[in-house]
Amino acid sequence: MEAEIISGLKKGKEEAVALLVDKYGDRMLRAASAITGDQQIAEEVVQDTFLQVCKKIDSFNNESSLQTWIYRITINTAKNYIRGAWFRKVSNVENDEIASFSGPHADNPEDKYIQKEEGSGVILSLKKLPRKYREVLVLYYLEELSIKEISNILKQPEGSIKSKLSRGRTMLKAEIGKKRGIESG
Amino acid sequence: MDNFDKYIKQSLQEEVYDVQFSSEKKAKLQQAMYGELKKRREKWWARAVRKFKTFWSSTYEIDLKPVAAAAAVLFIFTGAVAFKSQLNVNAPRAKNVYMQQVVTGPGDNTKIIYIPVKEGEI
Repeated sequence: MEAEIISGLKKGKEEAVALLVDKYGDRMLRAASAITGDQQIAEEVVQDTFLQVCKKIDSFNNESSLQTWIYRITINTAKNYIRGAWFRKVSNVENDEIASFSGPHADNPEDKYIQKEEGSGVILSLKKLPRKYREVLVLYYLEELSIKEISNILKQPEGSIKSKLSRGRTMLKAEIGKKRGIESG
Repeated sequence: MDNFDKYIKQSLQEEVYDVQFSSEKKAKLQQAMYGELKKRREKWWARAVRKFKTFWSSTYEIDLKPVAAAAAVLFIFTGAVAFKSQLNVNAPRAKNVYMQQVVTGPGDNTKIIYIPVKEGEI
């Protein structure tokens, strides 16, 4: 399937584009949503990722799998968007809270308000962690990738991924505990 | 995997369960990707024409690094040329130097003669 997509993209076939979007579109969107904490930004991240895949397909040399390559581009693009989002936050502080993860059914203001009031569980807590821990936690828990696969995607040694996972897990636990404490007390 | 790990995994998966592209957005994305693939297969001159048209008809993001590098090279080159030509002005070659001789003849008849000075005579 991967080989079919790659050769199709290299030949500029429309079916390959459809296959790629069907296979990885929603999956990358979910990962990007969890990393950025914002579905709208996540959609932009994935669109950008897929356009980059099309632009750079000739330079893809099978050193890693297509999936690893797409994850890598998604993570790097999300990184850029998060940096960009910081400026938006500074310029528009009032919209900041609405910009937090709003879920798929938050198109109308009422839904947005309800979700804002309820909070969004783990993703909301995850959003408070530094990005380097967030991406490892998302790839491990949400995408169910192995340490080795994450190490290939992020181009970091397995030891470093393990320590980030452990530290991130501790930080997330503390964040969730803090949130529960606020909610109950 | 302990209970906390299972909790994170399950919560994350539940929270993003419904996150997906609408069919309309998927179609738009596919269209944009197909357009990108077509651009990739363009001839270099067709690409250059398209980029120029985009530049001409819209706001276009220009990477300032190569522009700055080109400007710096041009500045250094112009500076070097100007400096070199100034050196030439200060060091005239002998064939451009003339000696003025005023000869007064009978009846206050004055003649001015310019005699070229040969190289090595200065």
